[in-house]
Amino acid sequence: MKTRKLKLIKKYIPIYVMILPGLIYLFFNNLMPLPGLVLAFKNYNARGGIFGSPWAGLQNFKYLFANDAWYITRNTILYNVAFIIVNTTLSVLVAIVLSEMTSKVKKLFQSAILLPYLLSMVIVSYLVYGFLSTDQGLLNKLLVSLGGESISWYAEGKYWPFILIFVNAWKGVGYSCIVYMSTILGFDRAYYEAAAIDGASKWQQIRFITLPLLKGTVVMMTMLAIGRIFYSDFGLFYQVPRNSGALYSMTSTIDTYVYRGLLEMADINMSAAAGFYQSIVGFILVLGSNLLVRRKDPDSALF
Amino acid sequence: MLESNSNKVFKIFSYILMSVLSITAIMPMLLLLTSSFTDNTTLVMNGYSFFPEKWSMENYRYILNNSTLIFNAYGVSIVLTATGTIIGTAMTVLMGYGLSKKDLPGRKIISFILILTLLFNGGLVPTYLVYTNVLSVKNTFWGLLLPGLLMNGFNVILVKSYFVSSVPEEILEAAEIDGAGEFKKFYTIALPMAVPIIATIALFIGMGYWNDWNNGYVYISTKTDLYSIQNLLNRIQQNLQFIISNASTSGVGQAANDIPSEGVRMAISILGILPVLIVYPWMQRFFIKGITLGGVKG
Amino acid sequence: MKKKIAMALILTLILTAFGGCGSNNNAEKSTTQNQEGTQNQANTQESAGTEIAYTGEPVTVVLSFLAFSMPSAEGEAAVEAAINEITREKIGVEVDLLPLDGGSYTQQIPLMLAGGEQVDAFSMLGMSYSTMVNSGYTLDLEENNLIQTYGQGIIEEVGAYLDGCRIGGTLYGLPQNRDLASPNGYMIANEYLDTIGYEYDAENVNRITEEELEDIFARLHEAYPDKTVLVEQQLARVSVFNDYAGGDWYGVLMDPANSLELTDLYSSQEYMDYCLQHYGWNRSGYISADALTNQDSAISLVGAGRAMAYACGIKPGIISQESQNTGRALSAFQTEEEYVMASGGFTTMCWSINSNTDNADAVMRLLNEFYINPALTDLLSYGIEGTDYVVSEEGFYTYPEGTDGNVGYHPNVVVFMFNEFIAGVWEGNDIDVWKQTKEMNEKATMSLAMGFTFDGSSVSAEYTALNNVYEEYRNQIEYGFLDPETGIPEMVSRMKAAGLDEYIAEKQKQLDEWAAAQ
Repeated sequence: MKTRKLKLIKKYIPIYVMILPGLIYLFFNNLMPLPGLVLAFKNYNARGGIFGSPWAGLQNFKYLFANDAWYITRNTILYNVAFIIVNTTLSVLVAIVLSEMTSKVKKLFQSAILLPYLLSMVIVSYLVYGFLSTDQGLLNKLLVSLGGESISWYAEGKYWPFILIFVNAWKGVGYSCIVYMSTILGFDRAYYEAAAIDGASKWQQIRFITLPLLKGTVVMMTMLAIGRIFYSDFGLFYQVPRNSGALYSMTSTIDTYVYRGLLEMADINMSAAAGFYQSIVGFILVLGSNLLVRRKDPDSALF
Repeated sequence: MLESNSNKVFKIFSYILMSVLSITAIMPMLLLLTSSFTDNTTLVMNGYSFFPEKWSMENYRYILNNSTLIFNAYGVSIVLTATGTIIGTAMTVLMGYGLSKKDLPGRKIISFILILTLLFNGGLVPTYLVYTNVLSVKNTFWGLLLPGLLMNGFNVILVKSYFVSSVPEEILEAAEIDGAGEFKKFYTIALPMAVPIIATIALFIGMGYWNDWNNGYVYISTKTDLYSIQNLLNRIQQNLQFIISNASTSGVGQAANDIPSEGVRMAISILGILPVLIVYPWMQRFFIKGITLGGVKG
Repeated sequence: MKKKIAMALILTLILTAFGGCGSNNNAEKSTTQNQEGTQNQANTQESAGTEIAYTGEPVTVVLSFLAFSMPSAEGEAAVEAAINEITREKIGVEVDLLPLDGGSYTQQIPLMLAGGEQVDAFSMLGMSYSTMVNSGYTLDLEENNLIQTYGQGIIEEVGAYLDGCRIGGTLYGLPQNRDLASPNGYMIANEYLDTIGYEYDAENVNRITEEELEDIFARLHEAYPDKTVLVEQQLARVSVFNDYAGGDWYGVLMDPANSLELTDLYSSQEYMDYCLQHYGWNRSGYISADALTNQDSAISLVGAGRAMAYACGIKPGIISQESQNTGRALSAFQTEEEYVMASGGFTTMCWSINSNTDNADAVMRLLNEFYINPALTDLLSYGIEGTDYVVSEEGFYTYPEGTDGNVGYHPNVVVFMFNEFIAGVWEGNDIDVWKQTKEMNEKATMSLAMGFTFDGSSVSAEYTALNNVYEEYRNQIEYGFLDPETGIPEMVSRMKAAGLDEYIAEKQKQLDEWAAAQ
């Protein structure tokens, strides 16, 4: 048994060489800083450095679970779930539709939907403001011209889940559909040709060939997204609502809470605690979902 | 061959969907474009509009006046993106291919480590300490290139699954029987079949570099000629934010006059988008190539 | 053969990944300079009477500060050289300036300090003094009699204000000489005052009552219904007479000259009155509907003609300063009579020395020199005379002809510098503006809590929760979008739920302890 393994290793030496640069990079970039996570449990003092500083137990985590703070966790989770559902559906839909297109217009469509991804969230927040500002926003101007009334968009929290989900999709779909598109491109055309000969319509082809083949990729992308479920796009939740207090209850996430709470404090310990908290939850969730997936469809599992 | 009705419906649906999405995507960008050509006082008075009252080239003139700074930043962005994309894509594809070998000893462990890096982050300070003290990249080009963006577990997983699902083992085994070693198998067979995924990864990594302002923000403090375009834009924004939140601290308000106005920021953003607008359509041909190759295989 | 090429390619990849070692970087610089430092620890001093001449290698001190306009490389080098000309012989120190731009300064300084890079002296602007001290970044300035030996000039210049930077009795920072307290008021554009026919003094500060202010606003609104009367901005403090002892507004001294009892500012009648006033203004239409989300500065809004007035600290020279900033003639209206010199105000922009510095003596000597030497202050604040600024006949400093402010070195930081009072006067101010500022400082009500700083680490969870609550309500209530009669009680009850009472109790405890130890 051992000799077999040794033989494999010897055979795969070139493969190990291929993997090596990546591993070295990951070592320096991701693994070496990892012990720094202990900062979450310490009270950092420059004289001791990271490892010499005194322990603080779980004190740095207290603020994340304050009485008032349950809504940030609720928001973070719900928004991420909504993002996963909306973005995946739209991305898959667009990917399928685009890959069936053959005309030159396709290139135009592809480029157009990718453009929003290139804008920084700050610029996006300006653009959103251009539409939603109370006095001069284009949306209000439109409403008034249609005989309706101006709405104070930045003062009413109830609209914002929709606004944020829309903005997030607007920005992200063009990018995430690329993954699905290249996956679809890799499918064996023979399946489609055979189905066409059998008289299957486009809709049927999609339902019975494309979607099942795509399942693995969708599962994998979803699991990775689940791993980030306690994280949020800071720009989206802080810049786009323009830090308007009236919207806090609907748009605050863990990341904005940490930022607002610490403001100028630059408290390394507390922000490390937040990062740790977010990572641990994501890790557990990914482990859990991976186990589930491994039972049903081992090839789609992450590990 | 006659097109069935349902296929026609599908086609119409496709075009309508994509048109709607494209217009939704582009419309705000047009707003961005028009505001970059708007006179700044008009911007403050009237807000954004598709048909501004007063057109002006003053924002672009400002850019030309500060051309050294801005075009230098442009250069930095381009070189950085090109270098990072080439090196990063190579590293990622190599690693992804390596991990696609199902019987590779240690595969599970390496995959686990990979996922671990995706989920856990040491944090800004520890990462900063590694890069500054151990690797000494602060205020150098490497400080822009190395941290975070060169390779990440997500891309590797994508490549790995692509190889697993789209490059059948039988072909590789056939080549092995013919006497090809591991490198040859990779180079002559797997690589050509992987063009779509390589293009995808290259696109992701490239966009990651192009859009990044964080590395420049953290690792470049004194060498202002290493600012990338997005970093520049972000710095302007951060400075403005700082001024606003400290507005009443004596004397801070004056500095607000030195910050480029909103219109200029819009113009810089447009500049930031242009190269991608040019490169991306050109790249799309690689996505199409895959079909022909894929169709050839038996 | 192909294998070999492939191997070579991969090797190249690995090597490029490691190529970063050995390139120009701060860490290397700091190690060599540290070595220099230890060698030069013993600077030979020959005392001839009171004059100390320094021989031997000068010590390099890195001075970091926030620059709103980053200087060009040449401009910075020129200023450094000029400064070194003076400091090299006089105090055996050479300075290495490290200006960083606004937003990144607050992020870079803690990172550099944690990373052990050489940053010997830095300003606390934008950062929390108590957090920095608690993290152990700052040096005890009285250790080994450091400031007494090398900083006599500072002690003389700053006087009693020095105590304002003590935490738990230990001195960690150096306060500045600048405008430390000013009454609140409003700047209104003259053009609109003329239209409504209001008589005002364009040269001096107009003292008016709250009722007169209401009247002015009402008439302005009537004359210009489409313009915003008042731009709401987040002021450092609301215009309510109090001392925010301990550095934050959760528990303040409402009667700072007489009492050391902390009360909740937000439950006070004064705060309610302030918010009711703005609520009234908002209902009357004086405030823009977009005030909640506005990100344009008051200066740009008034300058563009979209708004007519804004609140401002009325300090000497404010009229010409603001008029220049907005590009419009403005007049100043002061409504406050009394104003507090906040006990926590000294640490907003104080200067500290890195606790890990190799050459505390040299740093202190340098800082001392900055506090007493006008030439150095001018160099640091304004650059090189002739290139970056010129002095007019009347003695004002201004940009050289034809440069339009586009000079090599003008970081726009005079107010963050050590001793503003010995710097040159920039054009647009009165020539004796520093004297006036000193007088204004002296007229302020001094707080009994002068010298008290609060260590909030045991109540940091409450602090973050309180911040979040306050940020949520702040603009809505203070800009008059929410009825204070209902809004304030709601905010206060949520603050109490977030731990307001515990926070104030802790602060009071520390305040009492400090007072007893005086």
